[in-house]
Amino acid sequence: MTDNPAAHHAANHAANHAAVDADALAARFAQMFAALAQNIERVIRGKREKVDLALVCLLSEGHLLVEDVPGVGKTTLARALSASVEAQWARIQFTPDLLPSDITGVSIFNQAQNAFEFHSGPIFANLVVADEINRGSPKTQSALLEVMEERRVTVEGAAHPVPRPFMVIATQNPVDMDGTYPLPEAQLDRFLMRISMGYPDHQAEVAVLAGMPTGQMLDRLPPVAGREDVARMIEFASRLHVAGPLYDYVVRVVAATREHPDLRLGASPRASLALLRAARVRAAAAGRSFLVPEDVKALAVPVIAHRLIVTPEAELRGRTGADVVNDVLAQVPTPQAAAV
Amino acid sequence: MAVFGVGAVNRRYLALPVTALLAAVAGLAFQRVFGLGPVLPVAGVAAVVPTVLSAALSGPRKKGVRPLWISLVLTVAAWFGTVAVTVLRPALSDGTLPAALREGLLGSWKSILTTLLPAPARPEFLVLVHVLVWLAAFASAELALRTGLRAAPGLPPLAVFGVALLLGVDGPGSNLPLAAGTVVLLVVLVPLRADQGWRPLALGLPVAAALGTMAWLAAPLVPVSAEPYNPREQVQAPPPQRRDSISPLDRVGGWLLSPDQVMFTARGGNAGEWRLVALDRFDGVTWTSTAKFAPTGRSVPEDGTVVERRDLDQTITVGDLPGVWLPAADRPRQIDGVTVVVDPASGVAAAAQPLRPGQTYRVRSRVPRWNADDLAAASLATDPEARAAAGLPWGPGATREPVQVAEFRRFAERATEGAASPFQQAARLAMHLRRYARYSVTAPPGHGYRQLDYFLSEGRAGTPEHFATAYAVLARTLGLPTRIRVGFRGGVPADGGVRVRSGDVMVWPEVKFEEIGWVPFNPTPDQAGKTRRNDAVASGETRKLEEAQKNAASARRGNGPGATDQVPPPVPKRTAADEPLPWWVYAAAAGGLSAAGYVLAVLAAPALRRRRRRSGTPAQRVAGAWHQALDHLADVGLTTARTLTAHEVAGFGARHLGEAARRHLQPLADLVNRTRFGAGEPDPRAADRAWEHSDEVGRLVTAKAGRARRLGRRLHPRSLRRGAP
Repeated sequence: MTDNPAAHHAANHAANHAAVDADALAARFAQMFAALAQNIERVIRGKREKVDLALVCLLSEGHLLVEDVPGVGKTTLARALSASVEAQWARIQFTPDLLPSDITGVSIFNQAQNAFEFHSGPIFANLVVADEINRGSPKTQSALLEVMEERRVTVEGAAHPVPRPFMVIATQNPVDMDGTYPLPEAQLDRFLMRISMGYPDHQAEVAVLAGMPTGQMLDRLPPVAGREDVARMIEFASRLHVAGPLYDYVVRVVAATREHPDLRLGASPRASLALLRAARVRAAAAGRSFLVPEDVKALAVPVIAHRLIVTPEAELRGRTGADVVNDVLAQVPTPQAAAV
Repeated sequence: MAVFGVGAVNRRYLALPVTALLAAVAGLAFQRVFGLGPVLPVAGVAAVVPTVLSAALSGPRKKGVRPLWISLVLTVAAWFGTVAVTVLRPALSDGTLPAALREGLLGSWKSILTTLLPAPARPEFLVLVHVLVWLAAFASAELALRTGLRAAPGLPPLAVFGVALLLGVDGPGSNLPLAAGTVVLLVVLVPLRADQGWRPLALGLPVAAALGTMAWLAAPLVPVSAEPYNPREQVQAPPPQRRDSISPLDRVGGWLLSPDQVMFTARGGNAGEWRLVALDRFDGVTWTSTAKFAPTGRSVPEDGTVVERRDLDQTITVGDLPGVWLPAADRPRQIDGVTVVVDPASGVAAAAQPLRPGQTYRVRSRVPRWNADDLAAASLATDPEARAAAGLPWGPGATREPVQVAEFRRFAERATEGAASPFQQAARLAMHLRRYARYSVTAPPGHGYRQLDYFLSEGRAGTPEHFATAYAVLARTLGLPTRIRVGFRGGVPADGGVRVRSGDVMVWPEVKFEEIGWVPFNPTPDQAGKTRRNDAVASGETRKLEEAQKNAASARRGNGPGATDQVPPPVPKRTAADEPLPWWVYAAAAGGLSAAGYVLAVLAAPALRRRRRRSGTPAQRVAGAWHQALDHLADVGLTTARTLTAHEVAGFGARHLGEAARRHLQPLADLVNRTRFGAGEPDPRAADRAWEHSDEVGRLVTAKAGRARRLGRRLHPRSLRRGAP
């Protein structure tokens, strides 16, 4: 901070101008975000909140784990998302005999050219649906999770980057667990969010029945944004202004999980980064050029809960990671206006 | 600095009449020093001119408000001009303006503090009032025009009011109405300057009237046990001048030898007695006075006794009376026609210049009307003055008590043997001396121990000087606080008045009693050659007093001859005022004060907090508006604001207060979020909007919770800590 009042005034003036520009961009971001959500909602009815979270995940360059029973629209969500952003999508059905190369691709010797040629796998798409990921072998799961983190596939010493935007929407069925390989905690941490689609409510389900078949609807779904638009939205959200007290708030929330008596393992610093990244997108989606505590609070459960390991005693009491996160949010003071 | 709109600017100008009135009222408080007449025009001019000047200098100007130094220079110049053509106009015409100004600015306060009140309205004294009121009006007007502070413009007049109170502690009259007026004006000033529309003012005016009336009515009922602080007690009075090179006591012998010299003529009433000086210090050889004279306008302060008195108005025309002492009936209240200095303790008055034949002055006195019963029941005074008047020093250079003192004591004890009361003791001593010795104008003068020993043992003849001084010494051996007075008694009727001659000179002792003060006694036998004509002008009071003393002296001896030589120790008469208050009064007073203090604190703390929250940068004001709204919502049950976000709080408000509250809380939450977490600085308009929303929330809470419930919550101790950082 400068001691010169004139310079201070000029700095304030410039900051105010920048804030006005950012507000305009945030408004455009919110407009685009709403258009995308409405577009997806044409096929995923009555799930606006889940759609919003999926979009936040996409624009945060994170990956989404959808934990739910079959038939609630997980794949449809991925297809609608990809159709709306004019992106490529791929679906991988995980089975115990699925090999890593079935996901990443393989190098085949080309006799004509006397050289190995890389044949890319389904992972090289903008949106990848990893269906029933817990049915794949740990080795295969690891291959997918490595790509999710590194955003490239390395075969024969050569790196093959995946396209941008890149998002994996993994699903798993929490009910039928026989013959599955549950994802280890370290790998769950790679997912930005875990959500549950849930059954549609009565009216939504009636509307689904009354409407045209989903397949036809998906085919007719118009693209709302191009990949360049999505890239710009991601870029804008990543530069959104975050006030100092909010960093402190995010760290307090995450740190509080590490000391919670119902938890065996709290959230990692990666959780803090993920929460902040997602909160930035939510703020921009609300038309704001700055983050507020509501953004952090609204995303804390989907971003943090799946990273926590509840103690067996707490589990017996029916406590879940989401309960613990809600506890923490109710205890950590929000960074509201300084006391006056 | 807060940004004010057009309404705010108008309010600043509207505050000027109030600040001018405050300054004028502060100036009028000097009426206890000078009286209302001289102060009124001075305070009026000094309050109005600088206010008008400041208002004119702060008028609309393209480059903004003029610098303060311009106002300062112009107001100083204007003050010199105004004071020269008003208060100091006489000095302007006779060329003594610089000296009068210097005296007024630098020396007048000292002169006022050493002058008995009411002080004369001399121009150089009034300069002090003029400059103080002027400064207060100027400072007050500039504060009102240049700042947004609400109560600060009232502070300079308050300071001047305080100065006036201090200088006028001893003065006549009361400043209570002016204090009530000041309260009213202050209560009007604050809402007038509040940037919140006209509603606070509409509410403030009746409150001001009620407070002012309450202050006026309740102030006299407030019990005050201590004397007010009096700066005069801290001021070193000017050294007492030697008023007369010759003590009147030393002139007595000469005057008696040539008794027909006309000293003065008194017209207008029958006093029978005129006093010149009181001599209260005896060093073994001579009697002198410890009087401390102070200038006075014309009034003589009262002596604080409870004796019934009657008014007497006399005009004295000086004849051959030399010196500076002014003959006056006891006790003078007001002296006109001559510049005087007065000893407030004894009431003795002296002229500033030696008297000259033909000089006339008017004395208004309050003559005591003695009551025999009161005198008989009176106990001896025990105050410091009385204790000093009961001492008998050994004499200059003496290393042990003079042998005569023991003889005097035995003489006095024999003379007052069997007296049942101090008054009877004093009366018997006087009666005894009257019978014991005879009047003789040819007795050698002097009143030291040796001369008195000769007078009492061998001479047994003397002048009033001998009788009075002998009485005083004898009385002091008995512990009676005694002094002597020199004056005149009698006189002959002439020219519609009383002509007092040198032969009418009289010296008499006075003994001090509790509450009734100094009571004169007459130990001097009747003058053999004096005609009965003198008695014709003796006042009824004098005759009544002598009658009471005769009766007391001849009353049956209380304990029988020889029962005791000791005078019963004086028992101070206990009055209702002396009774100690029971403990529960103190406890109730302490409890009441504590409760009042608590109520004041819990009511004032939120107001102060709100004031603090409304000040500062726009960001701070927005944050303050938010915390004010949280305080409001606490009255409808919000207790977990710490962990709620702004919009969660807004949701709470909407659930408890309805959708109307949401319409104010949501935008307020948005403003708070943007201010706290956004990148830019909010503008002042945003802060104003935030406060409008906050105030609306307050109104909705009041409508929902009710004023009584809100007041009840306000009285809770948490009001003191709520919202504290």
